Amino acid sequence: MVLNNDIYILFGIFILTYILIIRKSFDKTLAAAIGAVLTVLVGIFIRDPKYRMHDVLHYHDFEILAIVIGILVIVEISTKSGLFHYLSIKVLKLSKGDPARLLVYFGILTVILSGVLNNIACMLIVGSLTFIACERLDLDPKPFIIAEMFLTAVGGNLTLVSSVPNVIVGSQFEISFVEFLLISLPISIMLTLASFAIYRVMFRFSPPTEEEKEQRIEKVNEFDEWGAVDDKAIFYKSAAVLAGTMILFVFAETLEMSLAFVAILGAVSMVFFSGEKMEEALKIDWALIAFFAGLFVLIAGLNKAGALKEFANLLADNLLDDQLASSLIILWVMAIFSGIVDNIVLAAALSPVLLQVSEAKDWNPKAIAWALVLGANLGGGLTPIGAPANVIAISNLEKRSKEKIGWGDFLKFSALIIGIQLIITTVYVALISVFIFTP
Amino acid sequence: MAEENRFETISKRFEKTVKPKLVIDKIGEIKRIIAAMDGTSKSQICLELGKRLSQRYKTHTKFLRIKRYGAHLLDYIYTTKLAAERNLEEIRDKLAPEPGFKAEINLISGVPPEKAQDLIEAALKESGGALGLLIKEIEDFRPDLVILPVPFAEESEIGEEVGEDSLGTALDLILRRTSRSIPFLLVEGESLVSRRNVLCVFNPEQQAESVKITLIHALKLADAGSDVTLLGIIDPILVETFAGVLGEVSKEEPDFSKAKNGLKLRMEHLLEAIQLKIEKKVNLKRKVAFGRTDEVLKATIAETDAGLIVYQSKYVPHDPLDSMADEIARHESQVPVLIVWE
Repeated sequence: MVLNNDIYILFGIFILTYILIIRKSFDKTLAAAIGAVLTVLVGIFIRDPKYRMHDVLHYHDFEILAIVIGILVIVEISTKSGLFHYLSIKVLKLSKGDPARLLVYFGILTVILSGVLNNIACMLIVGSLTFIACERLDLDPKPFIIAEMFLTAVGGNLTLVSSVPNVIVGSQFEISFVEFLLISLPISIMLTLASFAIYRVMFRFSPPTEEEKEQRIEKVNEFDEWGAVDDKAIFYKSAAVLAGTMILFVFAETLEMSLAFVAILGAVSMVFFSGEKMEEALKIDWALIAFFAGLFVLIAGLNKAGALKEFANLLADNLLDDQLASSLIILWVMAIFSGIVDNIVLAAALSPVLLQVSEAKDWNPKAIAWALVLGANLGGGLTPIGAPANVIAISNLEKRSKEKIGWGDFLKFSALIIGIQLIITTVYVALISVFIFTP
Repeated sequence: MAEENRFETISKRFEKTVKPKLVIDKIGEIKRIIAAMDGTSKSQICLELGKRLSQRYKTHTKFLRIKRYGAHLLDYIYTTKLAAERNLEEIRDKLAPEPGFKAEINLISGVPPEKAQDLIEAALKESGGALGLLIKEIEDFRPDLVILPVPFAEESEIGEEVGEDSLGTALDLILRRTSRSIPFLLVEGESLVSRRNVLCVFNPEQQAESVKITLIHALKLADAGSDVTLLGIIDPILVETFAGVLGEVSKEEPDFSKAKNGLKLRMEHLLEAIQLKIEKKVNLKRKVAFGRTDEVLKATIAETDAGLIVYQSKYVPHDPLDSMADEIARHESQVPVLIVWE
């Protein structure tokens, strides 16, 4: 058994690292790397044979890293092919430039794209088109951008690969792609519809005259969906590979393929069929990957030293025995903290702990997993810094509309929208906890 | 910061997809024309042109002979007064060396110049002068086209007739004082009669709406079966300005290729959009050319055998006092120019 002092040291490193990660002025990847290095080095002083430097260093979860790398490559190349630009312009044209319709159509597009891509890529694509379209249609972009920003969080729940917390929790709690989709789809649809109902009350558009309607149709028709596509062959191939990868994700369990393999297969196929050079295809966010790797080593150290077990026991002793009440508490705590702290960091730290707590308490771990996933994704929308999509949306809105959106303004929106979303999610988590994932 | 850059990149990519589409539902008809003549040799062409267009469109045309009495009369009075005074001096000089008798040397003038000036100015004020009357005609008659001879249109220092101390030309004053945007066909040369082709000049800075307006006016005057060349000129000044916006000029050896290609693409989109919507009664040709506007214009006029140049004034580069491109278009080429104002 590892000495208690060692656990304190490891916890100290863990807390210090998390403080550095939270500090915006410090590079979070460097913080995770420092934490990982210190965690491995501590092995020199820990005499427990189970805690070997080699084990800790090689404990990073390849499954999660491979999924993230694979998806990033797929997103990078399919974005370059103009596929999502094409889709977005098609949707814009479908709206005929009518503001109410545009808000709904772009909202649905946001949910789907953040489900297939990730929240950042989705906000970049849909957000940038929104600004351009609003400028041409002489509309205020604020309602649209705010609507999209909060819907990226909803879309982040959609599939197992929509967001990193989903991948982490899914991998930890062994949730398959289809199983994830079956639970996430109903709540995502409910949250989307609820959001549209809120937006309908919040944002009112005066009905356009016949002349305005015609002018707007004319203006949206000036967008050429093929204009962003440089090579139609690559476009079609990217679409096929993306669709193929999604289908393989669905059948991965049946075909006994790991999700990591499907993601890497998709990425390799994408590079092969697009004719993209490997060095170009791999221009992905390596800092993010390094951040995950550091984080996983840090958590592995705690796990190997038995610290997570100790913490899990501590939590188990203090948490309620009731699965339903605990899952709801986890949902809200996770949501509130995700608004302040990076939800990836929280998911990475809490997943292994809560899995052990579930086992200790004889709960159904899936109920806890869903509380974690939904809380982590929706909570990102609570504050302007809760998710990168919020930062992108707000900074561009301020830059283009010259209107300062402070924390107070943001919280007015988020308290209402995320508040209602969380109430709906609470009911949903309660229902699945009682009827599907019974202890 | 990285996300901000990506946002800008994606935005630019979307902006690239916006292709101006022109909806030219109806070219419209020319129902009323004013053809002004000033007695110069160019007036004859104005007359012929007015007659030809009137017959083609079966219009109601007003042919106006402009005589600028007011200003000319003042000039005459003061010039003759000056001549008489000079003559008086000559007489004094001749008599000076031969004294011995009493000589009185006086000037007798039927009309005191000061009083004449007052009278003329009052008359001008009342009528508005030739220019004022022409402006009134344009406002009342609401023509779809005004044909003006260049000598009159470009006469400067004419502002006094309408009570303005203006450095501009007669055309500038007319434009400033008329409430509607009317195309003005400025006649300098003689070649329209023999040449039927039309040269439409565009600039990548132009928006779809201004292209549409320019084109509609060009098509109104184009004969069926004639060649209409849509010329997009990418002037080096524009490339440099555009490159400046892109930040390319900060390099040691400026590379303007990005700006050049961007402008070329924009111009091609614009012309492509025009071609899609244009009526097939004319033979449409497209050309995008890099180079100084005046040089490209000169070369293309010769190349296309154009008998009419059409452009929107503000999109053919101007320097503060005059424009080389205007100079070429209006004077050197000897081709009538239809100038369109928004």
